[in-house]
Amino acid sequence: MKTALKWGLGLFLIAGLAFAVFAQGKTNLVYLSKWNVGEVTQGIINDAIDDWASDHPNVEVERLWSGRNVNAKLMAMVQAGTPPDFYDEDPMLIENSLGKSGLALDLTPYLKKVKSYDIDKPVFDTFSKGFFDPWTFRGQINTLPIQQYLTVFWYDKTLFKKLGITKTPDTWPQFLALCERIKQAGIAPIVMDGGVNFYNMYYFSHLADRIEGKNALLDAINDKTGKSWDKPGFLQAQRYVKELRDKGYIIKGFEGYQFPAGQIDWVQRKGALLLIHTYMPIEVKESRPDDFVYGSFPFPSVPGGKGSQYDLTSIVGGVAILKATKDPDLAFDLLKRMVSLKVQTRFAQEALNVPTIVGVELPDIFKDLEDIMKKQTGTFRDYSGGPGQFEPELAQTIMYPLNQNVLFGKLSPEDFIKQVKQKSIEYWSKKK
Amino acid sequence: MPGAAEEVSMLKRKRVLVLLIPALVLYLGLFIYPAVQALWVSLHDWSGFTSEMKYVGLANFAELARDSTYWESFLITLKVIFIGGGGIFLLAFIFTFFLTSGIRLRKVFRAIIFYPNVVAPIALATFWGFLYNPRFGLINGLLRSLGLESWTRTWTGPDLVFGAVLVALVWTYVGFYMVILISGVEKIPPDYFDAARIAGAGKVQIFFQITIPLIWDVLVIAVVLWIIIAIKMFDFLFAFSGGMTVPQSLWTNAVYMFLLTFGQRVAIYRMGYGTAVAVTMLILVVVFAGIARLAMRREKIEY
Repeated sequence: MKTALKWGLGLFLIAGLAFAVFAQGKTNLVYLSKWNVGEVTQGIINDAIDDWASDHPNVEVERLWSGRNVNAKLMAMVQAGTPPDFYDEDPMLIENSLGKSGLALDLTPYLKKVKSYDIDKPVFDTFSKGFFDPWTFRGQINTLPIQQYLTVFWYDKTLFKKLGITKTPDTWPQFLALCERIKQAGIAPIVMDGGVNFYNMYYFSHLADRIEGKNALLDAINDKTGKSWDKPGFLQAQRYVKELRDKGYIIKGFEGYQFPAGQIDWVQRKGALLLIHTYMPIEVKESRPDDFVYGSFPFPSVPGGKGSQYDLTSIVGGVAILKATKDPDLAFDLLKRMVSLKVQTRFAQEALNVPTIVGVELPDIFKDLEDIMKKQTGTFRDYSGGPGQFEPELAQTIMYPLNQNVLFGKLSPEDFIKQVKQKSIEYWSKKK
Repeated sequence: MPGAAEEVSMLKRKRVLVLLIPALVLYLGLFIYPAVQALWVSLHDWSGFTSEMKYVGLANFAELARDSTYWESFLITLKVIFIGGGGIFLLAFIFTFFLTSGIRLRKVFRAIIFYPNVVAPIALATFWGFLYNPRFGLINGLLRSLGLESWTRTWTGPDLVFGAVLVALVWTYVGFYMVILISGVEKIPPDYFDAARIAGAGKVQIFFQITIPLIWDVLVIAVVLWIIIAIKMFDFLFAFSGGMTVPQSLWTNAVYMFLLTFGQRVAIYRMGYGTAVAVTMLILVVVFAGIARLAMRREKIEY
């Protein structure tokens, strides 16, 4: 009995030692993600990592699916001296956290040198020309964009057919006429979640840039003298927003809508138009009636305005590699798998994302969008928080609250301009 | 030369001190050290991601003094403490009065009223969010079914959301404070009540002149507890708004601190400044708890 025990103990020790040696031989990479287990995107990323890991048996990729509060987790990991190797988030959030702190690896040399996984050219060249420009900070690319979202008006073609609407609007007056027609049919023309302050910037920001020109609003926000706010287009833009409210074109009770109440109402045909990113279809997939046919059109132009109807906002989601990674080449090898044809096709077909690389077929629901993208004349800044965030403190404490007040009928457009100008000057003088 | 009794007492005291050490170490490590560290961080300009912090002295506190958003959030915090607390303690007293007056099924009622406290605040906030939903919420639905369409409101809109949340908070917390008060009442020897009844006192008179004075210490603790909970109120408010953005009329100091330090969709990453807000919250707890104890100080009644 004693001998058996000795043998057992001996074998156990040998096995333990062998395991320890084997485990030590493996490289461990940590992937910190904003996605939750069960989300379609999470599944695709997870599969891509699995695929890559099966080609690299000596590498263990630990995955931390942390949900949308991932930045707090990143901060804790960095402070504890155990940063992850990868961090997936929106490029602006990555820039404001890792980029400005000097913790993000500059991906530029890798993008330009390393060949794509399944296309015979460097990864950089698999993207359209100028794609990285908005996501280049201080001459550095921190994030590899793996998903793209454009903002357009969404509608249900079946509902429009029922209402006898055959043409989507190209100009603001046509848009107002469309709203009136939908309203007369007893349906709310516009749906929005009043509680989401950053999405509610869309009407003002689109109108401002349609009137004053591409990125005029961003220039005004960054104008430390506040003089840009005197441009008449900004006041006009908020007057148009107020008009939507005053004419009853926005769904009743929207002020109290918390996400995703508005888009659920929209997909259930309580309202007709929804101005939102292209990630909306996946979010309402389960609530969509069978005969619901997605249609989309760009934000209309304003007659006499400097901006074009086909200037679109584009934001992306992506992945950064931290400088602290043990093996940057190995880490980039995994990362480039996310922008392979195979993975990008899955993002398009299953997660209903617009692909980031060129040459991937779009799913049927993006048929209108494909036409819009062909006519795209430029890209202007998105203001929807996260990937579109601009001077976050100014956005959160000045711009969003004042814009909400106009939408909720608590502030006149004139007072909006007066207050945003005064508060912006104060804000920038504080930052000197 | 110390006597034998004195030596035993010294030995006992030493033993107590030795036994206190583990708790003391944990308290110092998990509460005092982070509090001091927070004070240190609040004196710096820091994003939370770098190893170096830039020392700015009291600049963060000076900025707070001029920050209108901070003062608005401070006012909202005060409203939660006083209006919310007023509602909670008023109802807790009423329930305590009825549930200690010998009514039948009092344990069942007590369990029902206490029930929200065993549910996670996130779930409760989501539940209330559904109740208040302007389109399909139970409240507006009920009003419509009663033919009171004109009474329906956008409960979660900017004008009503604060009141709506306060109602939800009162409903959530009243059971907790009721149980604390009832436990105090149940400790009072029944002879006191018998004597009062024989002397001809009514139920209300007994409640105000016997019960409340005898549970005064318990009441003080309950009030201090509420002040602490109200000042650090965050999870309920965050979840109530669906986790996307908290409406500005619900920005308490705790919510503002979160937005400044981590944020979510709009991340500001001003860890030093946000920690300064946290330090003011700690000061607020100490000041308010002190005021509450002083204001409610009475001659101790022992029984």
